[in-house]
Amino acid sequence: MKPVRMIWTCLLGIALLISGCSSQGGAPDQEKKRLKVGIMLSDVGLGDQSFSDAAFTGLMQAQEDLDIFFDYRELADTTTYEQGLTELVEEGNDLVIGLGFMVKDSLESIASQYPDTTFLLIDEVSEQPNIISLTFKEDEGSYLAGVVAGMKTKSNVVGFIGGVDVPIIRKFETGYIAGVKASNPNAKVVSEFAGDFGKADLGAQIAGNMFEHDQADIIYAAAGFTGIGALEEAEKLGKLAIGVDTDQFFLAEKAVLTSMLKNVDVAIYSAVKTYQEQREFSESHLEFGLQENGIGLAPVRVVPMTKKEEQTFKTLKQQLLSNGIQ
Amino acid sequence: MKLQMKLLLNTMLSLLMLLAALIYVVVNVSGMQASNEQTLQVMTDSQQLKTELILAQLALSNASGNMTEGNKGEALDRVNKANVRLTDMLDNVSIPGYSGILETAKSRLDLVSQEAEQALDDRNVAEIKRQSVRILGILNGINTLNILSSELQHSKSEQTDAKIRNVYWIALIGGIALFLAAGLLNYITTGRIVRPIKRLNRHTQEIAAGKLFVNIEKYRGKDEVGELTQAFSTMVSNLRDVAGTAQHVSEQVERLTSELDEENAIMSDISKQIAHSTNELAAGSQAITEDLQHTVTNMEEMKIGFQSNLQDSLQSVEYGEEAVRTIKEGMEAIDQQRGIMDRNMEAIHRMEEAVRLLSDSIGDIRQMTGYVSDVASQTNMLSLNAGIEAARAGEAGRGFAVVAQEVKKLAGQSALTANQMMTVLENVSNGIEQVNITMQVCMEQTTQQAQAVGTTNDAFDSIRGKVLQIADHLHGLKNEMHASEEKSNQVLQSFESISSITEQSAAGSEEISASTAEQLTAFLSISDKVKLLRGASDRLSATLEQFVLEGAGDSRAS
Repeated sequence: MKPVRMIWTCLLGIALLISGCSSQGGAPDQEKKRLKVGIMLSDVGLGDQSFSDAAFTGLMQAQEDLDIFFDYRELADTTTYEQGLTELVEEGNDLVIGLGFMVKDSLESIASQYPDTTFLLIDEVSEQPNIISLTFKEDEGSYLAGVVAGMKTKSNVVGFIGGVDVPIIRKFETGYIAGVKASNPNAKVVSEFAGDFGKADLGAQIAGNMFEHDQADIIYAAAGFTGIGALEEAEKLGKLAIGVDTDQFFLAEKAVLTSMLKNVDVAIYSAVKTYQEQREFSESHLEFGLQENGIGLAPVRVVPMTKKEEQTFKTLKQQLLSNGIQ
Repeated sequence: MKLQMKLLLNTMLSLLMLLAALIYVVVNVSGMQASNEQTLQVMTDSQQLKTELILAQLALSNASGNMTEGNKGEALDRVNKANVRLTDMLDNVSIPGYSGILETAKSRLDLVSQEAEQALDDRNVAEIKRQSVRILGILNGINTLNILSSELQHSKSEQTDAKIRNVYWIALIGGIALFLAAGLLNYITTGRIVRPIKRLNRHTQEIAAGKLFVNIEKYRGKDEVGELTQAFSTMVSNLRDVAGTAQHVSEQVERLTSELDEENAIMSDISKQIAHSTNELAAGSQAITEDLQHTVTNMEEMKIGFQSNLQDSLQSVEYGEEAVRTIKEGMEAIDQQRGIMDRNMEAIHRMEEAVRLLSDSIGDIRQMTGYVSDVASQTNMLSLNAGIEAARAGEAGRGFAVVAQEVKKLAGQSALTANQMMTVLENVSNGIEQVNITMQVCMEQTTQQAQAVGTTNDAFDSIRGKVLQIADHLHGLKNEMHASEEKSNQVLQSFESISSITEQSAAGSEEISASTAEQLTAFLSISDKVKLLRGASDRLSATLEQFVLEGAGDSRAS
């Protein structure tokens, strides 16, 4: 009966061979790890025609160019920033971005709960080790805005409306005043802080007061939604205004002379790119200025610049790039 | 198991293996299709949803720019369509990660469509714009889904490719392996059926050739071949028993006849030898008798010879004694001669002494003659001086001159005499030398003579010894001859008595010879009968040899 046993051994061997071959091909090759980025939008969130949209644009660009995934949360979804940030961390994002200074406190509290996740705070500075701060040299942009305002004022009085009296808004004011003085030493700057970023009516009221009472003919509003009220008020009164953060020309096309641009899209794109390449940030504080194209000025419209003004602007911009604000 | 059953099982086993391979391939390929379809569906759906969302976003954007009723309706319609498609997709997709994304998108889109409707009603441009941008947010989620699903699809299709390759190879290798396995199986199964039949065939041929010893291997199979083998085995064993018995009997008969034949041959040889021996015995007895008579005659002649021989011996003894006496005299003469020679030798020695003395004297004389010669020359010198002195003296010395003259003459004669003496002396000396040589020769010869005499003396000694021995022998011979004479008389008497016995024995031998011849004849007749028996037994053996019963020296039985 030996040959029969031999045949069964043969068959068993073949069966093992076949099963061994099939299991060999079973495991799929490890899916390549895409970088996942989560962003907590601030304020009204997507569609704000400002920060959130700019950040979203930057991330969309990054998704297209850098093969990343990103997800976002806004207060409309989550009610609180903490909730949104927690969701983003739990979702497994490698990098969680908090957009705007309003997110800072929540971001710090979540970051201390998840020390292994890297957080990026935009437009504010945090000292926590796993939070990387990304700020803009707003003073540089405000300086340029001031230069334009100084050149375009007829009454030699320009106004500045700040949202809340905090150091960052003070930076706007300082840069703006320096710019005005640089292009028009005779011009005077009137400043007021609304104490709120979300009240358009308040903005309109302050602006109206400046135009009517102080004889100001150009107002620079660094006050979020409050500032939009100022822009609309300027249009209503046939005066000029300078927008902030994004190109706000489309909000008041007859009044918005230019806008101080925080190129949040450029900054976020650049930060994500750096993180994807290095999987870490070499510095805990990233600053984006004119040099890095993180800051800029929207095209001057409504009252276009003369050749002479153009020349002066270029000279002063060059001076700013090489020497900083004097 | 029956043969038919075995063959059927063999075929079925091969077919089953083939079927298993086919099932493996079919299951694998169908599994691939099933797993791919769902991913593909998600991918298509998400792509379509993306398109719908983009269209909705554009329509809203359009409406915000140009607030006509048509644009408003279009925008609302697009948003709703996108919402419906999203809802469909949410219902269809069961992959957990995907449905999470879709749910978020769904809740956002619900909000957007609600708020967009409101904004459109209110003709709130800013709000419409905002909602249009918010659709981009939803689009991002769907985009993510689309990328995920297309990547999954991609990796799955790669897996499928790998799997197909795998299946292909497995099918190929498996096919070859199955082919070989089926071949092997068939080979073994048919071998197991055919081998015992072949073996039986071989055994049958061997039996036909007469080899009955074939050891039929046991075949344990319970099929027809097994039964055949069993029956065959029984048959061969019975056949072997019959042949074995016959062969055994034949061998015994052959052995017995062969032994009988051999014994008969031995007996026949023995009787022949007896006949021959008795004949020889008879002839020998005759010869002995004749020889004995001869001997007696010779003995008598010998007796006469003995007596004359005895006298000759006695004569020889006397001659030997005489020879001994003569030898003694010869030896005495030799002794005398040796004495003479010794004396002779002595005289020669004395003579030699005398000659040596003479020779010495001649030396002395030669010395003296030298002196004389010197004296003569001095004298001559003296005479010359005297002559000169005489001349100076003149007249007074005339007489002295004469004396000097005379002295001079004397000197001259003296010198002459000395010379003559010298010559004589040489001659004498030569003579002595001659004598000396002659004497030496004489001495040698004498010595040789002495040796020769010694040798002769020795020879005489040995001759004398031999002659004395001969004389002794002759004495012994004389005594023995006396004894022999008596013994030969005794021998003669014994020979005569032997002769008479031998004659009697010759007569007995002749009788034995006659009876042996009769015995031989009887043996020959027995031998003829044994030969006949042996022939019959040989024929029986030849017949039985066709059957080989034991495999001694033949290994094919294995």
